[in-house]
Amino acid sequence: MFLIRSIQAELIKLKYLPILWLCATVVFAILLVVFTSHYIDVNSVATLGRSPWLKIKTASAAIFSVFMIIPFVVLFISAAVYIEHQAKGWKQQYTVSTSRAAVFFSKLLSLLLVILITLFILIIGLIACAYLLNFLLPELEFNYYKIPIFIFFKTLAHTFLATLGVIGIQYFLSLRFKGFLIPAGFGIVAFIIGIILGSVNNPLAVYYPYSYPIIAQDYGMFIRDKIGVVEYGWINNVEMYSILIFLVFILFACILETRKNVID
Amino acid sequence: MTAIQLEHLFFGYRKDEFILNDVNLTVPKGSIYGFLGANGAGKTTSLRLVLGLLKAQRGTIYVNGTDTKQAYPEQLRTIGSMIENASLYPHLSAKDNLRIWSKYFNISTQRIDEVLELVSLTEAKKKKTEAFSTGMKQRLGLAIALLHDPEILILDEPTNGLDPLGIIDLRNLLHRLRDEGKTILLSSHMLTEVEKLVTRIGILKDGKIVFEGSMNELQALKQQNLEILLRVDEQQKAFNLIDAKYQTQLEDRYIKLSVTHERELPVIVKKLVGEGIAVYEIIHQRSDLEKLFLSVNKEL
Repeated sequence: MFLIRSIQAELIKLKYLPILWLCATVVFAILLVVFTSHYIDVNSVATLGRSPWLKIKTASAAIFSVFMIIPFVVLFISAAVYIEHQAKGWKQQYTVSTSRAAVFFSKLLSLLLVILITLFILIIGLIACAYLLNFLLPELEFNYYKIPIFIFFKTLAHTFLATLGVIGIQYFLSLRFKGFLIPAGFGIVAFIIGIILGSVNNPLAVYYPYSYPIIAQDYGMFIRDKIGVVEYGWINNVEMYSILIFLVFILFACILETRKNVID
Repeated sequence: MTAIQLEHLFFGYRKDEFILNDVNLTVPKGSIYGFLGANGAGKTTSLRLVLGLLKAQRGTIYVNGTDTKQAYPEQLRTIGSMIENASLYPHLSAKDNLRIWSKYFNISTQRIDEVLELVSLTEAKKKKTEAFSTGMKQRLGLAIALLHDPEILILDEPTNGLDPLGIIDLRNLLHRLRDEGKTILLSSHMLTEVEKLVTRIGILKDGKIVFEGSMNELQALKQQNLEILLRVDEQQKAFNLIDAKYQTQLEDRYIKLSVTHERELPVIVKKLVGEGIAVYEIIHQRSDLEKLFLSVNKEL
């Protein structure tokens, strides 16, 4: 029960306009790009006998995973934790008659929840975007095919798993540094390096968590075999590393948080 | 019965460099305890230790008779606190700020309205706290501390930023809370305010408690260090006659001197009268707490 109540408390704190704008911007930017590309290039998008849903899914997942998810996660987590630093909220937070670990995990869970809600809204937005396109351009034939909702969720679930490592690192950094700039700046620089590693198909990308969302799925942009992505059924090595990095950083951050002296 | 007890408490950020050095302190239940000390004396550090925000190297802290190490963090439920400035989320309204803590403590929204009323912030409950004055922020911090109706209130410099009217309101509120049976431990450097509030006092200097007792005990301590003003007819002659050990000074029409005990005073007066000097007036300078505080601090 405490967990639910504290997640509710954390969500109240996130009623912060820049954070809401950030989530909305990410969703809107992807929808705008997908909508515009389909609208302008309708002839190459509309393919007889092939579901346009798969095309819209691949396009949106590629844009989201390669260009958006990491900057979004970096800025979102840095801003969300910064709210606590700015309010000097730790001294009050850690006197609420529950363990520090419970507070730590409720904050983490609320962040994960907001990221998942943003992904969910993105899927809803994509479906709405597809129907709008179909209304304007009936030749796209979205209404002739069943919405592959499971594939949408599966794709974004893989993106989410591949991002967990970055979430762990950024949460750790945001707790350790009191300002917004250091964790956010680190994350953005790391993201640029990640894109470079992925785009040159460098095998090091497999060991670099900021490349994981880019290479975890095949968008036909990179040579994943050359990079060294290996599939093991429903999961691949990159996603497994991502989960492992997440667990290590979260555990480490939790130990430091429960032991630290709260001086501000 | 004691609400809070610190026993042989040591704390430092570095090994063997102690900010608190063998601090012993007893806050009786139902009292308003004034915790005094200059900046950097270790007041806030002591309060943070009681709240578990810092961990002591040595010593024991008891809350309601139980060692906090054994009852952490459940015991914190009995304590409401405001350490230094209130922890407020500036982008949220006063009510939303309180809603956050009501979730943690599983408290009804009705209680939020009650505490807002208690600190006279009902009118401003929908206003974002970034637009609050320092005094309003302090009052909202107090509301957060009171939200879960704790037995013990720990307030660090609660009068900071309050205007005179706000200070009077706070004083009345704290008296009311004390009458309801709450124990209040408050630190302050505004000594005149503490004097009117507290039933017991502890003075911390350089990480050590240099005085602990009731206000009367502190006043009695002061009887041993009196400041006297004498008005005489031949001021310069009298000044030369009084021994320099009394730290004599000329102040307008008066000679100011310090005696370690009041029995020295008739001896001085007798000597002056014996030399033919007329003594018109003897004033015992009334010692407010600020002077007492300074004298205790000066002694050690």
